[in-house]
Amino acid sequence: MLLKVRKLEKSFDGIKAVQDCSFAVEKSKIVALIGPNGAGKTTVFNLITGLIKPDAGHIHFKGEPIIGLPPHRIAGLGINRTFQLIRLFPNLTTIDNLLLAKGELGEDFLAAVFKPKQIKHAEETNRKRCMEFLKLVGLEEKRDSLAKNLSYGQRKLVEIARALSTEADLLLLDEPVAGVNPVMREKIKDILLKLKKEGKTILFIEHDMKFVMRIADKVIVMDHGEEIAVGTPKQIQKNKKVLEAYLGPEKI
Amino acid sequence: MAFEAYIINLLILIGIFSILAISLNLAMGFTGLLNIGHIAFYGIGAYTSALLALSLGVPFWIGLVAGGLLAAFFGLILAIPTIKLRGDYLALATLAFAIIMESIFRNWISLTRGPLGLPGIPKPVFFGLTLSGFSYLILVFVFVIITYLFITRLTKSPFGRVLKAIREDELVAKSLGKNTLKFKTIALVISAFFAGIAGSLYAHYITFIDPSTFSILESILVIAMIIIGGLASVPGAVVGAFIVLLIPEVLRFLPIPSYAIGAVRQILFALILVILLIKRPQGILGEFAFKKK
Repeated sequence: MLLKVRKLEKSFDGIKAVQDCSFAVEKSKIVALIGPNGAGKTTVFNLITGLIKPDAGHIHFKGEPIIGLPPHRIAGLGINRTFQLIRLFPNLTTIDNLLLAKGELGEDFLAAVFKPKQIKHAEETNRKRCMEFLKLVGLEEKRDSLAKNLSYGQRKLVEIARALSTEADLLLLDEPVAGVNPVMREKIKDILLKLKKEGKTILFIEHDMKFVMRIADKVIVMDHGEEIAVGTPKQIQKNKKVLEAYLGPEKI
Repeated sequence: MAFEAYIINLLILIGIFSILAISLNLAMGFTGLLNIGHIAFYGIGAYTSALLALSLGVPFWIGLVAGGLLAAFFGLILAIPTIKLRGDYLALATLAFAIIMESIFRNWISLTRGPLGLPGIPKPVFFGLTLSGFSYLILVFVFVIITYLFITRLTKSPFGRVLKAIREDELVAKSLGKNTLKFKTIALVISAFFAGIAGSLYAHYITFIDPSTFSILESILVIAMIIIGGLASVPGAVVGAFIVLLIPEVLRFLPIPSYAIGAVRQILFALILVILLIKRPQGILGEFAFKKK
């Protein structure tokens, strides 16, 4: 198991956002996290990445407990994420957004001051690496545009490219295809399947059920902060609890 | 001759304020730390090197470095409790810091002589040559160049890119694995160091300092310089220092009766600044304006 979440709990002002939530993500799988609005999916992401601390429960990544670690340490262990509302650095260029994704020698203050040559070399290597990811999403020509001047779809792709260029083992994608046109959606699907082939693990939140059913190996369903069902896309489609969560209880 | 001395004096002050503005820009323009109390570091540098020279006879050069280092140390002390604060809260905390420091300069009479100030601060001596007038201008010019080059190198490096990322969205920077508290602390400490150097240069030039030189109003002047020149632009900080210090001087030559000159100059100065910012909100050389949220 790459990621193991057990009995996670989190309340905001007495309202339980996540309760008794347990699931596991295996390596090299694409796992979808679905559920109605307000089910607590994004809160789970925030808990895994350490942006907020749970009230109770355990999270293990590669067998190590990660609860209580600051976000930058968790990122360093190999977990990266995208955000539901795209969060690029708007006044930085596209390539700078990617260059920031992985640590670099020149980010050390003393190196930045005293080792200009080594830094230049490290920067060139990093730039080449990041250009590959930019090519993968087809935006190499936009490398020097400020992120705020890109279109919505382009920004979505840059955010995915940025998550990729962290070279994290586990990617958490918060609604990767929301508001994206069908052509772009196909592209994102292809990218995710390619990543899976390369051995990356993806956990994603999505409301587009067609998309979920086509690429997920496993689906986790949440409702009212609880995980209510786990299974393959086919099993989930027939699950009564899931239908109730989405459509309300059947009237007799 | 008098006119020449007047120009040299003006250029020295512009130079000293350029160092102050460049250093503030590192914290505020590049990293997004709303530091309203920058002038306190300037004061710490000035008082440190003045007191070392007056009471212990320490040479200017050592006093200068000590002033910078003590300002940097106070930068660290300020950073520890406040660096987690965001935006407006940090602004308030730094404002309080500047008020406390000014109050210390004013009330620790046994050390600083309070409002009486410290007169007779010696001019620096360089290989037997006492620096004043034109030679002092050269000294200040050298320090402007050093500050300019150092901050430029820093901000153009990957380190500087992380600072900008923190300014843009600290949460994302964190989730990309950056220890943002460390980066912000370093930025504040370096910024304080150069402000301390500027303070020492000021004290040994004017040869007299008192608490009113380091009031919060002076801080606002420096903030005006980097906003006018352009946030996150090193040359912009220098341009801002020129504009803010030159406008009142140019207005001095307007044919205005002497009883009204002070008020008219201030009104015109304010008017020019407002027009400048309406026409170019990102500043003269700036890349971006402060985010509207």
